[in-house]
Amino acid sequence: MSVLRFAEPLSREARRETGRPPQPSRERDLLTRPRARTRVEDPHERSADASLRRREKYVAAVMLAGAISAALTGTVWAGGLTGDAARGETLYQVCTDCHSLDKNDVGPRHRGVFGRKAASLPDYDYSDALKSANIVWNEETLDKWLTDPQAVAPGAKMFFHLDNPQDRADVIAYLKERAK
Amino acid sequence: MAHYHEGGLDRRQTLKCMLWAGTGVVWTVAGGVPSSRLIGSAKAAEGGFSFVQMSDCHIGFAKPANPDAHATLNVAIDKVLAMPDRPAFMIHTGDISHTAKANEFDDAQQMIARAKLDVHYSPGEHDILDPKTRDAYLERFGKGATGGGWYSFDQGGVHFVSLNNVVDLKKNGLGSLGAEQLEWLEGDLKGKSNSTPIVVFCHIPLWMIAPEWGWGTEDSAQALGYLSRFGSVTVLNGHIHQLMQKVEGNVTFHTARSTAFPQPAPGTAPAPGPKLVPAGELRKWLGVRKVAYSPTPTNLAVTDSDLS
Repeated sequence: MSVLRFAEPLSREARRETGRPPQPSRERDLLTRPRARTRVEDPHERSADASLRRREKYVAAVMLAGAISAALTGTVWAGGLTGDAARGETLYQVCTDCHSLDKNDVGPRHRGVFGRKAASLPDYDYSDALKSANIVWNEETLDKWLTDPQAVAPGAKMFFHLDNPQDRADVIAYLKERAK
Repeated sequence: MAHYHEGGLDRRQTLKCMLWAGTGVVWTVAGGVPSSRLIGSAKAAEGGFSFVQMSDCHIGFAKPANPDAHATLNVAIDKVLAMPDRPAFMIHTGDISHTAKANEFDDAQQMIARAKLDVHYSPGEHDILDPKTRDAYLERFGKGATGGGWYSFDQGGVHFVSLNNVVDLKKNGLGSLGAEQLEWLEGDLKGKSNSTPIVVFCHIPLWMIAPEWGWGTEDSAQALGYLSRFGSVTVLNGHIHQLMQKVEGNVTFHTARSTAFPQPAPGTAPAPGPKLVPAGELRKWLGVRKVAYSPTPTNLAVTDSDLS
Protein backbone atom coordinates (compact mmCIF):
# COMPACT_ATOMS: atom_id res chain seq x y z
CA MET A 1 0.00 0.00 0.00
CA SER A 2 1.36 3.36 -0.89
CA VAL A 3 1.60 6.10 1.65
CA LEU A 4 -1.73 7.76 2.19
CA ARG A 5 -2.10 11.47 1.77
CA PHE A 6 -4.68 13.43 3.64
CA ALA A 7 -6.02 16.95 3.63
CA GLU A 8 -4.81 19.11 6.49
CA PRO A 9 -7.37 19.82 9.20
CA LEU A 10 -9.44 22.94 8.86
CA SER A 11 -8.76 25.72 11.30
CA ARG A 12 -11.62 26.28 13.75
CA GLU A 13 -12.52 29.50 11.94
CA ALA A 14 -12.55 27.83 8.54
CA ARG A 15 -14.75 25.05 9.87
CA ARG A 16 -17.16 27.45 11.48
CA GLU A 17 -17.45 29.91 8.65
CA THR A 18 -16.80 28.21 5.36
CA GLY A 19 -16.64 24.47 5.64
CA ARG A 20 -14.03 24.69 2.87
CA PRO A 21 -10.59 23.16 2.84
CA PRO A 22 -8.13 24.82 5.18
CA GLN A 23 -6.33 27.99 4.27
CA PRO A 24 -2.87 28.61 5.65
CA SER A 25 -3.38 30.49 8.89
CA ARG A 26 -1.20 33.32 10.09
CA GLU A 27 -0.11 31.20 13.02
CA ARG A 28 0.86 28.38 10.71
CA ASP A 29 2.76 30.80 8.52
CA LEU A 30 4.69 32.02 11.52
CA LEU A 31 5.57 28.51 12.50
CA THR A 32 6.84 27.61 9.07
CA ARG A 33 8.57 30.84 8.22
CA PRO A 34 12.20 30.33 7.21
CA ARG A 35 14.68 30.82 9.99
CA ALA A 36 17.15 32.73 7.78
CA ARG A 37 15.94 36.04 9.14
CA THR A 38 17.34 35.20 12.55
CA ARG A 39 20.71 36.46 11.33
CA VAL A 40 20.44 40.02 12.62
CA GLU A 41 22.79 42.85 13.40
CA ASP A 42 20.51 45.66 14.39
CA PRO A 43 19.38 45.53 18.04
CA HIS A 44 15.87 46.45 16.96
CA GLU A 45 15.88 43.59 14.53
CA ARG A 46 17.19 41.27 17.27
CA SER A 47 14.34 42.41 19.45
CA ALA A 48 11.88 41.75 16.65
CA ASP A 49 13.29 38.27 16.20
CA ALA A 50 13.03 37.55 19.90
CA SER A 51 9.46 38.71 19.79
CA LEU A 52 8.82 36.42 16.86
CA ARG A 53 10.30 33.45 18.71
CA ARG A 54 8.22 34.26 21.78
CA ARG A 55 5.19 34.34 19.56
CA GLU A 56 6.15 31.05 17.96
CA LYS A 57 6.42 29.50 21.40
CA TYR A 58 3.08 31.01 22.38
CA VAL A 59 1.36 29.69 19.29
CA ALA A 60 2.89 26.25 19.80
CA ALA A 61 1.69 26.29 23.41
CA VAL A 62 -1.81 27.31 22.33
CA MET A 63 -1.90 24.52 19.75
CA LEU A 64 -0.71 21.97 22.27
CA ALA A 65 -3.29 23.17 24.77
CA GLY A 66 -5.93 22.94 22.09
CA ALA A 67 -4.94 19.40 21.26
CA ILE A 68 -5.02 18.40 24.93
CA SER A 69 -8.34 20.15 25.38
CA ALA A 70 -9.76 18.41 22.33
CA ALA A 71 -8.66 15.07 23.72
CA LEU A 72 -10.16 15.79 27.10
CA THR A 73 -13.44 17.21 25.87
CA GLY A 74 -14.24 14.43 23.48
CA THR A 75 -13.49 16.08 20.18
CA VAL A 76 -11.15 15.02 17.44
CA TRP A 77 -10.28 16.32 14.06
CA ALA A 78 -10.93 14.05 11.13
CA GLY A 79 -11.08 15.28 7.59
CA GLY A 80 -10.90 18.73 9.13
CA LEU A 81 -14.04 18.33 11.21
CA THR A 82 -14.61 18.11 14.91
CA GLY A 83 -16.25 14.83 15.83
CA ASP A 84 -19.13 14.44 18.23
CA ALA A 85 -18.61 11.15 20.04
CA ALA A 86 -22.18 11.03 21.33
CA ARG A 87 -23.59 11.36 17.83
CA GLY A 88 -20.97 8.91 16.66
CA GLU A 89 -22.25 6.35 19.14
CA THR A 90 -25.71 6.64 17.60
CA LEU A 91 -24.31 6.42 14.09
CA TYR A 92 -22.25 3.38 15.06
CA GLN A 93 -25.51 1.41 15.03
CA VAL A 94 -25.18 0.99 11.25
CA CYS A 95 -21.71 -0.48 11.74
CA THR A 96 -23.14 -3.28 13.87
CA ASP A 97 -24.08 -5.24 10.77
CA CYS A 98 -20.46 -6.34 10.78
CA HIS A 99 -18.78 -5.03 13.92
CA SER A 100 -18.95 -5.17 17.69
CA LEU A 101 -16.79 -3.47 20.26
CA ASP A 102 -15.71 -6.60 22.10
CA LYS A 103 -16.27 -9.52 19.77
CA ASN A 104 -14.94 -10.35 16.34
CA ASP A 105 -17.83 -10.47 13.92
CA VAL A 106 -17.84 -10.25 10.14
CA GLY A 107 -15.26 -7.58 10.87
CA PRO A 108 -12.79 -7.33 13.75
CA ARG A 109 -13.73 -6.01 17.20
CA HIS A 110 -13.42 -2.28 17.58
CA ARG A 111 -12.51 -1.66 21.19
CA GLY A 112 -9.06 -0.12 21.16
CA VAL A 113 -9.00 0.25 17.39
CA PHE A 114 -7.88 3.88 17.57
CA GLY A 115 -4.11 3.88 17.59
CA ARG A 116 -3.93 0.21 16.68
CA LYS A 117 -2.03 -1.07 13.68
CA ALA A 118 -4.40 -2.35 11.01
CA ALA A 119 -4.75 -6.13 10.73
CA SER A 120 -3.01 -6.66 14.06
CA LEU A 121 -5.56 -8.63 16.11
CA PRO A 122 -4.19 -12.15 16.32
CA ASP A 123 -7.62 -13.80 16.48
CA TYR A 124 -9.22 -12.22 13.41
CA ASP A 125 -8.74 -13.44 9.85
CA TYR A 126 -7.92 -10.28 7.92
CA SER A 127 -7.77 -9.95 4.17
CA ASP A 128 -4.34 -10.02 2.58
CA ALA A 129 -5.09 -6.53 1.29
CA LEU A 130 -5.39 -5.06 4.76
CA LYS A 131 -2.50 -7.09 6.13
CA SER A 132 -0.20 -5.46 3.61
CA ALA A 133 -1.66 -1.97 3.90
CA ASN A 134 0.67 -0.86 6.72
CA ILE A 135 -1.78 1.51 8.37
CA VAL A 136 -2.14 2.75 11.92
CA TRP A 137 -5.71 3.79 12.68
CA ASN A 138 -5.93 7.48 13.54
CA GLU A 139 -8.26 10.30 12.53
CA GLU A 140 -6.80 10.59 9.06
CA THR A 141 -6.51 6.92 8.21
CA LEU A 142 -9.93 6.12 9.60
CA ASP A 143 -11.43 9.01 7.64
CA LYS A 144 -9.93 7.65 4.43
CA TRP A 145 -11.01 4.12 5.28
CA LEU A 146 -14.59 5.11 6.05
CA THR A 147 -14.74 7.16 2.86
CA ASP A 148 -13.84 4.21 0.63
CA PRO A 149 -12.15 1.17 2.14
CA GLN A 150 -11.55 -0.38 -1.27
CA ALA A 151 -9.55 2.69 -2.31
CA VAL A 152 -7.33 2.32 0.76
CA ALA A 153 -6.87 -1.45 0.51
CA PRO A 154 -8.27 -2.88 -2.74
CA GLY A 155 -9.50 -6.37 -1.99
CA ALA A 156 -10.32 -5.65 1.65
CA LYS A 157 -13.42 -7.29 3.06
CA MET A 158 -15.19 -4.03 3.82
CA PHE A 159 -17.34 -2.13 1.34
CA PHE A 160 -19.34 -0.09 3.84
CA HIS A 161 -18.72 3.62 3.62
CA LEU A 162 -20.00 6.86 5.05
CA ASP A 163 -20.34 9.62 2.50
CA ASN A 164 -20.87 12.49 4.90
CA PRO A 165 -17.58 13.85 6.37
CA GLN A 166 -19.28 14.89 9.61
CA ASP A 167 -20.70 11.38 10.04
CA ARG A 168 -17.20 9.98 9.63
CA ALA A 169 -15.73 12.46 12.10
CA ASP A 170 -18.41 11.58 14.65
CA VAL A 171 -17.90 7.82 14.32
CA ILE A 172 -14.14 8.30 14.60
CA ALA A 173 -14.63 10.41 17.72
CA TYR A 174 -16.75 7.63 19.17
CA LEU A 175 -14.14 4.99 18.40
CA LYS A 176 -11.37 7.14 19.83
CA GLU A 177 -13.07 8.23 23.01
CA ARG A 178 -15.70 5.71 23.94
CA ALA A 179 -14.35 2.51 22.48
CA LYS A 180 -11.03 2.59 24.31
CA MET B 1 -47.51 -6.62 -16.22
CA ALA B 2 -47.21 -9.46 -18.66
CA HIS B 3 -49.60 -9.57 -21.57
CA TYR B 4 -47.95 -12.37 -23.47
CA HIS B 5 -50.07 -14.20 -25.99
CA GLU B 6 -47.63 -16.00 -28.23
CA GLY B 7 -46.53 -18.38 -25.53
CA GLY B 8 -50.04 -19.20 -24.43
CA LEU B 9 -50.48 -16.60 -21.71
CA ASP B 10 -53.37 -14.21 -21.98
CA ARG B 11 -54.73 -11.31 -20.00
CA ARG B 12 -55.97 -13.64 -17.33
CA GLN B 13 -52.49 -15.02 -16.98
CA THR B 14 -51.22 -11.73 -15.77
CA LEU B 15 -48.84 -11.67 -12.86
CA LYS B 16 -50.61 -10.19 -9.91
CA CYS B 17 -48.60 -9.40 -6.86
CA MET B 18 -49.96 -7.69 -3.82
CA LEU B 19 -47.95 -6.94 -0.75
CA TRP B 20 -49.60 -6.25 2.54
CA ALA B 21 -47.57 -4.30 5.01
CA GLY B 22 -47.28 -6.17 8.22
CA THR B 23 -47.83 -9.64 6.88
CA GLY B 24 -45.76 -12.60 5.69
CA VAL B 25 -45.60 -13.53 2.02
CA VAL B 26 -47.15 -16.51 0.41
CA TRP B 27 -46.42 -17.18 -3.22
CA THR B 28 -49.10 -19.00 -5.15
CA VAL B 29 -48.13 -20.06 -8.64
CA ALA B 30 -50.93 -20.72 -11.08
CA GLY B 31 -50.38 -21.06 -14.79
CA GLY B 32 -47.22 -19.09 -14.45
CA VAL B 33 -48.67 -15.97 -12.97
CA PRO B 34 -48.03 -14.96 -9.38
CA SER B 35 -50.52 -13.15 -7.21
CA SER B 36 -50.70 -12.64 -3.50
CA ARG B 37 -52.93 -12.96 -0.49
CA LEU B 38 -52.67 -12.55 3.24
CA ILE B 39 -51.13 -15.54 4.86
CA GLY B 40 -54.40 -16.44 6.53
CA SER B 41 -56.20 -16.53 3.21
CA ALA B 42 -53.45 -17.50 0.80
CA LYS B 43 -54.51 -20.65 -0.88
CA ALA B 44 -53.17 -22.41 -3.90
CA ALA B 45 -55.85 -23.02 -6.46
CA GLU B 46 -56.60 -26.57 -7.40
CA GLY B 47 -53.63 -28.18 -9.09
CA GLY B 48 -51.31 -25.47 -7.92
CA PHE B 49 -48.93 -25.18 -5.05
CA SER B 50 -47.40 -22.61 -2.79
CA PHE B 51 -43.97 -22.06 -1.38
CA VAL B 52 -42.41 -19.95 1.33
CA GLN B 53 -39.63 -17.42 1.03
CA MET B 54 -37.48 -16.97 4.13
CA SER B 55 -34.62 -14.48 4.16
CA ASP B 56 -31.88 -12.86 6.19
CA CYS B 57 -32.16 -14.89 9.38
CA HIS B 58 -28.67 -13.79 10.50
CA ILE B 59 -28.38 -16.55 13.05
CA GLY B 60 -25.59 -15.48 15.38
CA PHE B 61 -26.64 -11.83 15.38
CA ALA B 62 -27.29 -10.58 18.93
CA LYS B 63 -27.13 -6.82 19.11
CA PRO B 64 -29.48 -3.98 20.05
CA ALA B 65 -31.40 -4.18 16.74
CA ASN B 66 -32.35 -7.74 17.74
CA PRO B 67 -30.75 -9.37 20.77
CA ASP B 68 -32.21 -12.75 19.84
CA ALA B 69 -32.33 -13.63 16.15
CA HIS B 70 -32.96 -17.25 17.12
CA ALA B 71 -36.25 -16.32 18.73
CA THR B 72 -37.53 -14.35 15.78
CA LEU B 73 -36.61 -17.13 13.35
CA ASN B 74 -38.58 -19.51 15.52
CA VAL B 75 -41.56 -17.17 15.35
CA ALA B 76 -41.21 -17.13 11.57
CA ILE B 77 -41.22 -20.92 11.48
CA ASP B 78 -44.32 -20.92 13.69
CA LYS B 79 -45.96 -18.68 11.09
CA VAL B 80 -45.09 -21.16 8.37
CA LEU B 81 -46.46 -24.04 10.40
CA ALA B 82 -49.67 -22.10 10.93
CA MET B 83 -50.26 -21.56 7.22
CA PRO B 84 -53.60 -23.09 6.33
CA ASP B 85 -52.40 -24.56 3.04
CA ARG B 86 -49.19 -26.38 3.52
CA PRO B 87 -46.44 -24.96 1.28
CA ALA B 88 -44.68 -27.41 -1.01
CA PHE B 89 -41.20 -26.17 -0.14
CA MET B 90 -39.20 -23.23 1.08
CA ILE B 91 -36.65 -21.01 -0.59
CA HIS B 92 -34.12 -19.13 1.51
CA THR B 93 -32.65 -16.01 -0.07
CA GLY B 94 -29.49 -15.84 1.97
CA ASP B 95 -27.80 -14.57 5.11
CA ILE B 96 -28.82 -17.72 6.85
CA SER B 97 -25.99 -17.10 9.30
CA HIS B 98 -24.46 -13.89 10.51
CA THR B 99 -20.77 -14.76 10.41
CA ALA B 100 -20.72 -18.00 8.38
CA LYS B 101 -19.78 -20.13 11.38
CA ALA B 102 -20.65 -23.81 11.31
CA ASN B 103 -22.60 -23.61 14.57
CA GLU B 104 -24.69 -20.74 13.19
CA PHE B 105 -25.61 -22.81 10.14
CA ASP B 106 -26.30 -25.79 12.39
CA ASP B 107 -28.66 -23.74 14.55
CA ALA B 108 -30.41 -22.21 11.54
CA GLN B 109 -30.93 -25.54 9.83
CA GLN B 110 -32.18 -27.11 13.03
CA MET B 111 -34.76 -24.37 13.49
CA ILE B 112 -35.78 -24.31 9.83
CA ALA B 113 -36.17 -28.10 9.90
CA ARG B 114 -39.17 -27.62 12.20
CA ALA B 115 -41.12 -26.49 9.13
CA LYS B 116 -40.59 -29.98 7.66
CA LEU B 117 -40.14 -28.57 4.17
CA ASP B 118 -37.50 -29.05 1.51
CA VAL B 119 -35.40 -25.90 1.50
CA HIS B 120 -33.64 -24.40 -1.51
CA TYR B 121 -30.93 -22.00 -0.43
CA SER B 122 -29.16 -19.08 -2.08
CA PRO B 123 -26.15 -17.67 -0.25
CA GLY B 124 -25.89 -14.20 1.24
CA GLU B 125 -22.67 -12.27 1.75
CA HIS B 126 -22.83 -13.13 5.45
CA ASP B 127 -22.77 -16.83 4.50
CA ILE B 128 -19.72 -16.55 2.27
CA LEU B 129 -17.08 -14.23 3.66
CA ASP B 130 -13.96 -15.59 2.00
CA PRO B 131 -12.75 -18.64 0.05
CA LYS B 132 -12.76 -20.79 3.18
CA THR B 133 -16.39 -20.05 4.08
CA ARG B 134 -17.36 -20.30 0.40
CA ASP B 135 -16.07 -23.84 0.28
CA ALA B 136 -17.80 -24.67 3.56
CA TYR B 137 -21.07 -23.23 2.25
CA LEU B 138 -20.90 -25.22 -0.96
CA GLU B 139 -20.04 -28.35 0.98
CA ARG B 140 -23.12 -27.88 3.14
CA PHE B 141 -25.68 -26.42 0.71
CA GLY B 142 -24.23 -26.87 -2.76
CA LYS B 143 -25.02 -30.49 -3.50
CA GLY B 144 -26.39 -30.68 -7.02
CA ALA B 145 -25.37 -27.11 -7.71
CA THR B 146 -23.10 -26.01 -10.51
CA GLY B 147 -19.86 -24.03 -10.32
CA GLY B 148 -20.19 -21.47 -7.56
CA GLY B 149 -23.49 -22.80 -6.20
CA TRP B 150 -26.11 -21.89 -8.81
CA TYR B 151 -28.79 -24.37 -9.77
CA SER B 152 -32.32 -24.76 -11.10
CA PHE B 153 -35.24 -27.08 -10.60
CA ASP B 154 -38.78 -27.50 -11.83
CA GLN B 155 -41.91 -27.74 -9.76
CA GLY B 156 -45.48 -27.94 -11.05
CA GLY B 157 -44.62 -26.44 -14.41
CA VAL B 158 -42.63 -23.56 -12.95
CA HIS B 159 -38.88 -23.27 -13.53
CA PHE B 160 -36.95 -22.09 -10.48
CA VAL B 161 -33.44 -20.67 -10.75
CA SER B 162 -31.20 -20.00 -7.75
CA LEU B 163 -28.29 -17.66 -8.38
CA ASN B 164 -25.26 -16.67 -6.35
CA ASN B 165 -24.41 -12.97 -6.58
CA VAL B 166 -22.42 -12.53 -3.36
CA VAL B 167 -18.97 -13.94 -4.12
CA ASP B 168 -17.37 -11.20 -6.17
CA LEU B 169 -18.76 -7.98 -4.74
CA LYS B 170 -18.26 -4.81 -6.71
CA LYS B 171 -18.20 -1.10 -5.90
CA ASN B 172 -20.01 -0.28 -2.67
CA GLY B 173 -20.75 -3.98 -2.26
CA LEU B 174 -22.88 -4.42 -5.36
CA GLY B 175 -23.54 -8.04 -6.21
CA SER B 176 -22.27 -9.69 -9.36
CA LEU B 177 -23.04 -12.89 -11.20
CA GLY B 178 -19.91 -13.28 -13.31
CA ALA B 179 -19.38 -14.64 -16.78
CA GLU B 180 -19.43 -18.32 -15.82
CA GLN B 181 -22.78 -18.08 -14.06
CA LEU B 182 -24.32 -15.95 -16.81
CA GLU B 183 -23.23 -18.48 -19.39
CA TRP B 184 -24.78 -21.24 -17.31
CA LEU B 185 -28.02 -19.26 -16.97
CA GLU B 186 -28.28 -18.71 -20.71
CA GLY B 187 -27.85 -22.44 -21.28
CA ASP B 188 -30.25 -23.37 -18.49
CA LEU B 189 -33.05 -21.28 -19.99
CA LYS B 190 -32.42 -22.35 -23.58
CA GLY B 191 -34.75 -25.33 -23.62
CA LYS B 192 -37.63 -23.57 -21.92
CA SER B 193 -40.65 -22.32 -23.85
CA ASN B 194 -41.60 -18.68 -23.59
CA SER B 195 -44.70 -19.61 -21.64
CA THR B 196 -42.79 -21.37 -18.87
CA PRO B 197 -43.21 -19.40 -15.67
CA ILE B 198 -39.80 -18.51 -14.28
CA VAL B 199 -38.96 -17.74 -10.67
CA VAL B 200 -35.41 -16.48 -10.06
CA PHE B 201 -34.15 -16.09 -6.52
CA CYS B 202 -30.89 -14.89 -5.03
CA HIS B 203 -29.70 -12.70 -2.18
CA ILE B 204 -28.78 -9.25 -3.47
CA PRO B 205 -31.52 -7.60 -5.54
CA LEU B 206 -31.19 -8.06 -9.30
CA TRP B 207 -32.48 -4.53 -9.84
CA MET B 208 -30.66 -1.35 -8.91
CA ILE B 209 -32.43 -0.19 -5.79
CA ALA B 210 -29.61 1.90 -4.29
CA PRO B 211 -26.23 1.39 -5.97
CA GLU B 212 -24.55 3.74 -3.50
CA TRP B 213 -25.46 1.26 -0.78
CA GLY B 214 -24.57 -1.76 -2.90
CA TRP B 215 -28.24 -2.66 -3.27
CA GLY B 216 -28.18 -4.02 -6.78
CA THR B 217 -26.29 -6.43 -9.01
CA GLU B 218 -23.73 -4.98 -11.38
CA ASP B 219 -24.22 -7.40 -14.28
CA SER B 220 -27.91 -8.19 -13.78
CA ALA B 221 -28.87 -6.59 -17.10
CA GLN B 222 -27.37 -9.52 -18.97
CA ALA B 223 -29.30 -12.02 -16.87
CA LEU B 224 -32.52 -10.08 -17.35
CA GLY B 225 -31.83 -10.06 -21.06
CA TYR B 226 -31.92 -13.86 -21.08
CA LEU B 227 -35.21 -13.73 -19.16
CA SER B 228 -36.92 -11.09 -21.28
CA ARG B 229 -38.56 -13.53 -23.72
CA PHE B 230 -40.53 -15.27 -20.98
CA GLY B 231 -44.10 -14.25 -20.34
CA SER B 232 -43.87 -14.44 -16.58
CA VAL B 233 -40.71 -13.88 -14.59
CA THR B 234 -40.71 -13.36 -10.85
CA VAL B 235 -37.49 -12.33 -9.11
CA LEU B 236 -37.26 -12.82 -5.35
CA ASN B 237 -34.43 -11.29 -3.34
CA GLY B 238 -33.42 -10.50 0.23
CA HIS B 239 -30.48 -8.44 1.52
CA ILE B 240 -32.26 -5.13 2.12
CA HIS B 241 -34.53 -6.38 4.92
CA GLN B 242 -37.64 -4.62 3.70
CA LEU B 243 -40.42 -5.01 1.17
CA MET B 244 -39.99 -3.44 -2.22
CA GLN B 245 -41.59 -4.28 -5.50
CA LYS B 246 -41.00 -3.26 -9.09
CA VAL B 247 -42.48 -4.37 -12.41
CA GLU B 248 -40.40 -4.09 -15.54
CA GLY B 249 -41.92 -5.61 -18.67
CA ASN B 250 -42.75 -9.19 -17.87
CA VAL B 251 -40.50 -9.24 -14.83
CA THR B 252 -41.72 -8.56 -11.34
CA PHE B 253 -39.13 -7.98 -8.61
CA HIS B 254 -39.78 -8.46 -4.93
CA THR B 255 -37.50 -7.98 -1.97
CA ALA B 256 -38.29 -9.66 1.32
CA ARG B 257 -38.22 -8.81 4.97
CA SER B 258 -35.63 -10.31 7.25
CA THR B 259 -36.49 -12.51 10.19
CA ALA B 260 -33.76 -10.78 12.22
CA PHE B 261 -33.71 -6.98 11.93
CA PRO B 262 -34.95 -4.23 9.62
CA GLN B 263 -32.79 -1.85 7.60
CA PRO B 264 -33.51 1.77 6.68
CA ALA B 265 -35.09 2.74 3.40
CA PRO B 266 -32.56 4.18 0.95
CA GLY B 267 -31.89 7.84 1.55
CA THR B 268 -33.25 7.84 5.08
CA ALA B 269 -30.00 7.01 6.88
CA PRO B 270 -26.29 7.70 6.43
CA ALA B 271 -25.67 4.10 5.43
CA PRO B 272 -27.36 0.72 5.35
CA GLY B 273 -27.25 -1.35 8.51
CA PRO B 274 -29.37 -2.69 11.35
CA LYS B 275 -32.16 -0.28 12.19
CA LEU B 276 -33.27 0.26 15.76
CA VAL B 277 -37.03 0.29 16.14
CA PRO B 278 -39.04 0.98 19.30
CA ALA B 279 -39.12 -1.82 21.81
CA GLY B 280 -42.05 -4.09 21.20
CA GLU B 281 -42.31 -3.17 17.52
CA LEU B 282 -39.52 -5.29 16.11
CA ARG B 283 -41.69 -8.15 14.94
CA LYS B 284 -43.82 -5.80 12.87
CA TRP B 285 -40.69 -5.08 10.81
CA LEU B 286 -39.81 -8.71 10.24
CA GLY B 287 -41.58 -11.29 8.16
CA VAL B 288 -41.90 -14.29 5.91
CA ARG B 289 -43.41 -14.61 2.45
CA LYS B 290 -45.66 -17.20 0.93
CA VAL B 291 -46.09 -17.53 -2.80
CA ALA B 292 -48.92 -19.54 -4.30
CA TYR B 293 -49.39 -20.87 -7.81
CA SER B 294 -52.32 -22.46 -9.54
CA PRO B 295 -52.86 -23.31 -13.20
CA THR B 296 -56.42 -21.97 -13.18
CA PRO B 297 -56.91 -19.16 -12.81
CA THR B 298 -53.37 -18.55 -13.85
CA ASN B 299 -52.13 -16.58 -10.94
CA LEU B 300 -49.05 -16.39 -8.76
CA ALA B 301 -49.98 -14.95 -5.42
CA VAL B 302 -47.57 -13.26 -3.03
CA THR B 303 -48.40 -12.76 0.60
CA ASP B 304 -46.12 -11.09 3.11
CA SER B 305 -46.72 -11.62 6.81
CA ASP B 306 -44.99 -9.90 9.71
CA LEU B 307 -44.01 -11.75 12.84
CA SER B 308 -46.18 -9.87 15.32
